[in-house]
Amino acid sequence: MRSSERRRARSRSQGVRKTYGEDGVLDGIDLTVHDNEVLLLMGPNGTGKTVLLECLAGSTDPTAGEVRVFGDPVREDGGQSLSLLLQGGASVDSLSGRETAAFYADLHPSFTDRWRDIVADLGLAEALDKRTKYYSEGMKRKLELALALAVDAPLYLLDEPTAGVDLSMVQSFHRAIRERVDDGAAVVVTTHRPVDAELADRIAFVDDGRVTATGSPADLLDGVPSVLRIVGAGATTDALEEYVVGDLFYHGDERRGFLREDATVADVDAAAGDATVETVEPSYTDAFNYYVHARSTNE
Amino acid sequence: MSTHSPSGPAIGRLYDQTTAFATRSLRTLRRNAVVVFWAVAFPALFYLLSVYLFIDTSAMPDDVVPVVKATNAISYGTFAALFVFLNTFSQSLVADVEGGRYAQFRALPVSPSADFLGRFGASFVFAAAAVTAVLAVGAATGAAYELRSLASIPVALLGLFALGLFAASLAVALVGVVPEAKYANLVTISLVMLAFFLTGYNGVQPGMVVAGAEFVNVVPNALATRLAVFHLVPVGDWTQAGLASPGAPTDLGHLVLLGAYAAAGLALAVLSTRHFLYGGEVQ
Repeated sequence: MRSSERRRARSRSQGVRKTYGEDGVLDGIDLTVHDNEVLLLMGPNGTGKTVLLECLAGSTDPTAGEVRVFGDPVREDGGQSLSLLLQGGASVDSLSGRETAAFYADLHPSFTDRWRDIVADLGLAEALDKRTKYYSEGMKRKLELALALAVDAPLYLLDEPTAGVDLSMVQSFHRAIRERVDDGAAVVVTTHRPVDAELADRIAFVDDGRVTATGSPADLLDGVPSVLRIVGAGATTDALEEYVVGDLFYHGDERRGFLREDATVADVDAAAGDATVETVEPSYTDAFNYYVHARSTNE
Repeated sequence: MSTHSPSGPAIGRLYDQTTAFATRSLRTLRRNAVVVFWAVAFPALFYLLSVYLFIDTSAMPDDVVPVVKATNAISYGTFAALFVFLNTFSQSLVADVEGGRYAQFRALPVSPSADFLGRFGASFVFAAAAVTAVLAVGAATGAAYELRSLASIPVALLGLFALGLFAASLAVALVGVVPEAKYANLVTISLVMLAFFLTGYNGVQPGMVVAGAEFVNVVPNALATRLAVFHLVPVGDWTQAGLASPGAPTDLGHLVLLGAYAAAGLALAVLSTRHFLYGGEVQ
């Protein structure tokens, strides 16, 4: 048994389904969040990550299945054991950052003044007296993250905390989140940005309301087939796709794909014409494309 | 790392959360120019149009004109209050629903009662300010006010309080039951207008009502208005002032009825907040 499976479950979801009318959003999700880990829910926009997070937090009831926190139904917990960040869910345009913080400070008995340190680290302290309608998306994310992490909770649920945040600031966000894990918390983070994979102890890829793969970043990268990198003009994409799993993906001026088991690089090279073909180590973007888009076409 | 607020007694947390919602609501209300216009400026303008354009005061005895202006000021003051308690209240809920903040609140250890009471407290203060503004415009244009007794202001405030709880409870319930929360605003503004006109300008002109007008001493907006007129305006003859029939709502039964509106409103509001906003997923 792997060590992660021996650890205590902070949150466990079984068979979680969610529908709105006839529209299905979640389709039988099983997910366990262990002690002291960052679990990344990674998937494209509109695949149900936020709804899943709301179900884990108890703010949305699943249509079927159950969610437990520390063994109890999440609704019975009443928000005592967790802190939720919903993208755009905290700030009111006509209030300043400081007024917003004061509001949430009075709502949660475990709210601490840690938010002041976090906004200082994230460079938002000078803007706290501005109304949030003048904040950029990145500034709103900074305030939301500070407010969510200010709560002393064993479980944090963060919805796209780095959305709209420039790359130079992402590491600071990761550091603030990692500090909570170092203090003993577990964190679930939704994202569609491969850069957030650096934060993860485990990644669960989510697509079309289902978890398509779960594992450590290393295990998931190991599971990606050979990655083809095709640079330059040459054969059409259609002509090359018979050698890859699913479709080729455009990445800047290059095309990337996953070599089929019954094909070789030489086959692709011969079909590629003037284009250069090589295999490269998989990146998190490749892993994202494989587990979210390509693998299902290979099954 | 210090914790902001001790988890301590539940009553302490309820107080903290109620105060938090009240402070936040007051700040957002007074910074919303549209709300300030419709809740304060529009009723005052409506009053001025009425006493200078729609009502021919030149044909009235000199001692009646100040009374007519005062009763109209109170009528439009109630209009302003009803606008705040119904429309503005529902707008603040809809803003939080559509902004996704109720999904956030449901994941917090928030008391639904604190949510409602805080918002209501802010609305009451805002409505009282709106009423005061209209009465002040009335005073500036010659309206005559006179306290009937030491209890007059508490009784008038009780009427405003009961009307507010009743109307705010309808606002919460409407946000919950209307298929899309944003349409609740349309329903509440319609209710404000209907309540105003169908009761003869909140009960100060019962003669406008074609059928029996006894109900103006029963329905909350007209009852609160007429009670305020009785206690704040030196009306010599209710018939001459166009306020009868029915006569003034002076007996204890009318106060008990206002208390019943307040109690029913509070119960409906707390249940609706708990059920629709914290128990479900209002869209």
